[in-house]
Amino acid sequence: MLKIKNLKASIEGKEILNGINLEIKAGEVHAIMGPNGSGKSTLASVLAGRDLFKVTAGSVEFEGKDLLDMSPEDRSCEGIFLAFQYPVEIPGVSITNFIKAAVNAHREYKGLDPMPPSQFLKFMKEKKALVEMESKLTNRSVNEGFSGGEKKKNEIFQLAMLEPKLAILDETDSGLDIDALRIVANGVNKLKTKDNATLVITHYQRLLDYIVPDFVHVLYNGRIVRSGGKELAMELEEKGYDWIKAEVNGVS
Amino acid sequence: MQSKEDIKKEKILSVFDNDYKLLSENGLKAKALKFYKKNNFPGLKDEGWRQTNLTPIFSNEYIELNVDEEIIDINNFNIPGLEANKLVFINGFYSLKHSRIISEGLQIGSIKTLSKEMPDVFKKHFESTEIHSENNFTAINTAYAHDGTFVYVNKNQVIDKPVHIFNITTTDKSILAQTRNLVITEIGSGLEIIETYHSLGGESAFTNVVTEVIAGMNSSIKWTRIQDESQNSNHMNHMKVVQYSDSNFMCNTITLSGGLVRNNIAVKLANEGCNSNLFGLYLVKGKQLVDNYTFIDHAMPRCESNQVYKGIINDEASAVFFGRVLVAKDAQKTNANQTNRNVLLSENAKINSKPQLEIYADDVACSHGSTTGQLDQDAMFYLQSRGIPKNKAQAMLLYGFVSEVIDELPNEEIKDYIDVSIKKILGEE
Ligand SMILES: Nc1ncnc2c1ncn2[C@@H]1O[C@H](COP(=O)(O)OP(=O)(O)OP(=O)(O)O)[C@@H](O)[C@H]1O
Ligand SMILES: [Mg+2]
Repeated sequence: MLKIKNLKASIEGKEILNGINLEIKAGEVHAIMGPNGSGKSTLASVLAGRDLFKVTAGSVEFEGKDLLDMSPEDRSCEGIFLAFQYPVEIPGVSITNFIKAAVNAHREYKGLDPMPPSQFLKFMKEKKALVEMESKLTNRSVNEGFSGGEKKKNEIFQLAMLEPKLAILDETDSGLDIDALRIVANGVNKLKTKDNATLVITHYQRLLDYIVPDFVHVLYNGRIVRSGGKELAMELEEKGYDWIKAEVNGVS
Repeated sequence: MQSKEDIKKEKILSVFDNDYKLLSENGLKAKALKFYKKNNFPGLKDEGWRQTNLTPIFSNEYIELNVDEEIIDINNFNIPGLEANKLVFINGFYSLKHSRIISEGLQIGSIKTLSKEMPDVFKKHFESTEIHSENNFTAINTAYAHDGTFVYVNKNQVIDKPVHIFNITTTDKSILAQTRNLVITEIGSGLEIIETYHSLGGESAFTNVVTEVIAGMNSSIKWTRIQDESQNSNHMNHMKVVQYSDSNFMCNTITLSGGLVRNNIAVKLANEGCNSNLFGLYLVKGKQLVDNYTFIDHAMPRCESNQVYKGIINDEASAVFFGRVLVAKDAQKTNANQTNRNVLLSENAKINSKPQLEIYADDVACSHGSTTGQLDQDAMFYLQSRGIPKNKAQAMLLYGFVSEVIDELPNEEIKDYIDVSIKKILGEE
């Protein structure tokens, strides 16, 4: 589904991604871990099409298409979804209007007519239930004045509404209380099929107890320095990153 | 030899037929003309006008024109679903044919006619704010207004349907249209007014409006002004409001289109317990200039005023916001807030924003702020990352930016009307 080859990206001349190689197949769950500032969110942003970052080398193929060539909106319509680490607040735009515009943009991309209002409301109700999102929240402006947890729930609600092929969850667990973590993770799991894939960025094993990864990668200094199965996450939880850092720095 | 300023004055003065009888009876016309001759039009050297290039107003040869009212289809300018008392002015002249009063016992109509039917009320209030001496625009209006709206709301009378005043300029000639409005709400009464301005021809009409509002004790006035004129038009609007004890006044100024637009609103809070809300929204593009000047005079204690003006400026257009709040020494417990926010959509778009607080009392709560910026790129990316195309995302964000002002509009029909108009302008629909 996704093939990242030797991807390099920089901001203001500063290289942040240093040659990423990663392949994700349909049905798989990958986790990316790594110290603060190692480039995890940058990778997610580059995949979603944020032009703040300049891609200086490498390629990304998504379902056989050149992803880097597409606008952010086309990437979304092709099936990429990024749940942001820090969702922005958008005053004056209600969640309902926002998500309606998004759903209908996806439909238009596929050559479908806008969803009839009654069907849309039903669909939205269903998905809100999935993440146990408070009903009145959708009448409010996007993320404005939301608690940290509400913002994260809202991201997963959007994920549910847009049914992407590849969901990238950037620290969706941070800011969630224990119950909310379980609800959100179960929501993600319910949306999982053999045809879609998930890339989870996290610092904590506890999320991976719910969303169990097939592969775990460690990103450090803009490079994937180690990959393994789910036991790698446990090892990191126990030992931290120092041993990996030492290994990497010792080698280079 | 005549000076440049004298030529301007002569040019505007020469438009008018000297036979208007509107104000001559009480010598006000002579007084206004005396002021006009003595003073020059405001210009770039005058405080409050420094950012406002008035050249477009003086570069046309205007005429006044009372057209056949049959040629206008007023339905084009209706606000869908709004049941209102309608007063229609075409090129400043009252159109009896198109006007319709549906509320019972409402004393409203052409100021030319009603001033004669209610001479005592008229004499008591007309020019009670001395608005003719603001500047030469108000002076020439006082001397030669074509007609205008007169509303008198009796004690404790609450008007069930709003009053919609249509102002239309026609034809392909440069029309000079002057309307003059006088609105009085007696103790405990309530009134809602909607003024809309439209131009039919593409030529550079000049609309010069003066309005006096006397809000009696505990009365409530909700005013909405919608300006939707051609890119070549000039619009000068002066409003003076006097509020007595515990009265509520709200004015929404929505500028959808126009060439040169200047709105002056001055509110005097003349007794305690008044509440005054001024909201504004301007969408400026091309080479337009939209200028809002407000002055709130907190003369007495325990009054509250709020101002929120928001603008979106594109192309080579410019906008000016000058908001002055004066809190007098005795005006303790004043609560005054003022904000002006702008989004610039192009490199050549300009905004000049100057909120100004002058406080001479010590026990007050006042705030003011002004922000100007580009569209929030993080928010743009957020919307795009959900599949929403760039231009639609921009329109949604801009709409979100101005929605705070739309939410304040006094009724659903106006909200819908402005909603649709703005979405059309922003390209959201
Ligand atoms: N807009 C930006 N301008 C300048 N530097 C940036 C910008 N965004 C990210 N960086 C830098 O890129 C590096 C990687 O940041 P990134 O957010 O990708 O890290 P991360 O791995 O997601 O960290 P965390 O675990 O703290 O979320 C950091 O050094 C960061 O300061
Ligand atoms: Mg991060």
